[in-house]
Amino acid sequence: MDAALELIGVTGGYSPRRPVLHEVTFTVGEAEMVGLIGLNGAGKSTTIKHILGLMTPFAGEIRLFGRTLEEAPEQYRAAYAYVPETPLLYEELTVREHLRLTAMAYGLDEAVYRARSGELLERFQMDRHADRLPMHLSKGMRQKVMIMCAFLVEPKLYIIDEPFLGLDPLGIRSLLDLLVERRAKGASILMSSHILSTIERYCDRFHVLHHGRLQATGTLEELRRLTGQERLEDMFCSLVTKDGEG
Amino acid sequence: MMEFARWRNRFSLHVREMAPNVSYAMRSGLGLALIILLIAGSWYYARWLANLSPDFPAIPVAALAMTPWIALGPIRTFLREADLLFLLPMERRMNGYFRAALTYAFVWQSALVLLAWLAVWPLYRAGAGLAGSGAAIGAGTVFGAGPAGAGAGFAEWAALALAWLALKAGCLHLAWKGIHFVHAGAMRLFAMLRALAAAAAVYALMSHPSPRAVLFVLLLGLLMAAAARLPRTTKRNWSRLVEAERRARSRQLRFFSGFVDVPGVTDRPIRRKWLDGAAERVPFAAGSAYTYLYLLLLLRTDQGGMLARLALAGMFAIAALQHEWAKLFAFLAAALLMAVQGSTIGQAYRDMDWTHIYPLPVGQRHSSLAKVAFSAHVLFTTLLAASALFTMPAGVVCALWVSISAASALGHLVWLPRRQRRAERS
Repeated sequence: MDAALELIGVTGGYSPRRPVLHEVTFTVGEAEMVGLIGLNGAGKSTTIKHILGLMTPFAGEIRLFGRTLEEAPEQYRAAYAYVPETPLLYEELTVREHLRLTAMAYGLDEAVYRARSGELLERFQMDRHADRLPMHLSKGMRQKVMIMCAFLVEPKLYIIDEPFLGLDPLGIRSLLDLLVERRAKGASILMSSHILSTIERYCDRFHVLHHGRLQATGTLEELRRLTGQERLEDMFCSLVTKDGEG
Repeated sequence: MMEFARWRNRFSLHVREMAPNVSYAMRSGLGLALIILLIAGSWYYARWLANLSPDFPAIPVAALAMTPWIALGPIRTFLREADLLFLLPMERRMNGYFRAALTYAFVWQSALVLLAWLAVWPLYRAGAGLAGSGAAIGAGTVFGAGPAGAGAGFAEWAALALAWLALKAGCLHLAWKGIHFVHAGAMRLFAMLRALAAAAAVYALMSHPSPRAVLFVLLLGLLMAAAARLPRTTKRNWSRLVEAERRARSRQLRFFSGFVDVPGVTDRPIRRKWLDGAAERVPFAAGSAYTYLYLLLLLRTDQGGMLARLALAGMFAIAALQHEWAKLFAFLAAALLMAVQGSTIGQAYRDMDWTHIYPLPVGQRHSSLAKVAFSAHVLFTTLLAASALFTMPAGVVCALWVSISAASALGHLVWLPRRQRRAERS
């Protein structure tokens, strides 16, 4: 399987003297859904910021479909869509205008934008709220805007940070259905979440981060063999409490 | 006592937070501008009073000028959202805290009422037909020339001042009652009634300073107190108190953000639907993404509103000024201020992650901002020029428009992107 995303020995963080990430190496294959799991402060969001290019590693490199950000910044950025943990919205733009802006930024054709945005608005029950400003949206609705923007673009890689926070059950189901559909069409997904019972059913592989290091990696079966546990939640607890914590 | 100390502690924290802003604002010329405004305002006011026509409705205008100082004013509780978790359980013991907030509101707002009354007094005297109202702005001359001498003038001023302070206390009490109404609609309606009642009371006391007017005001007060009992109330409407405090704080910070860069100050966007068409006309293309964003920011933030207000102020000044050079100066000053104001759109969301995530060249953001700022500047300069055509020679207006547009193109399309690129690199 070719790698959509490769992290090779990435050491990074806010200060070189106290790095958050220590030589993190992992991949996300094409048409693969990978769960990035770890305790609070394990380095998941920092890893994602490095992948997005918002932070630069002190050592190591990150490749998206074989290219680094420095080599081809626009192609690198066009290859992924990101759903942040906390919705990042322009307070002056309505839901529909956020979708339009995203479509323009990613160079979508206007007809494609109209078709896809209509479908997404309906799927996430946001059609009635499409002309509202963010200040009139609930937290879950704001998160839906982020998800719709990411799926509108239909990139080759989705980077999704805690997508279920604030979503209603229908929203969660719509998101998971979309992820499965996109994976079937060849898209790759890197998803960070604490809802282990959900991602256990959907992800092909898991990377466990602990104290900024890759503690374990593998399929559910491989982690099962490694830990001797049945459920992902138990495997995770066993992995992160090995060193006497918890 | 402990609750009073808690409020005082919050107040000190607030003062410490605001002090640097006050200092920066003063250093950026606010102090000087205020002094000039005060001196020039006093001079014009005195001249205006000296030439006041006997038909001028001085008493209604004086009542109108005094009413906002009496009817309006925030009650600063310094509550924060976290207090809903930590202080709300202690609600029963919080009376001292809220009493301190009300006392503070009364003290500083009373000081403003007295200052306002000092300023309005000469106009009131003119309306009441008392002599010597003309140049009576300074404290020494305010009370000096009444029909019954200084003592009588001061006695009347003081009597009405006491009445204003009593009204202020009543308004604050009613405002506090209104905050605790369950329905926001009832609170808004009650606030409107309170302002109307205050205006009626001020007018009654000014126009007929007699026991009958006092009786009328007392009756009005009783009526408002009775009206305050009608809507459903909660013991403490915590979420509304927190929201009111957030608004008061953000108003204060927004004021300072006009002079200094105050982090985290954001205006509530205003959607002017009739302007939506302008953004929809931006071509649907990657190259126009930032143009679309900046145009929407301009249309829906106060920056766009500020540009319109500056243009209106310029139009008004050009129409009102008599001398050709003064008109020319007003035109140039308005155009310059509009250019400065327009170029600040880029400050919004400059650190937003999306600007680093979108697959667009960095330079495009700068050129789009320059294009939007330039277009807005030329549009408002054109409006300014169109209005100037009524009072200035067409040749002068055309020359001004052409030279300002050329300078605007140079500034916005060449200098501004360069400066932004340099700032980003550093």
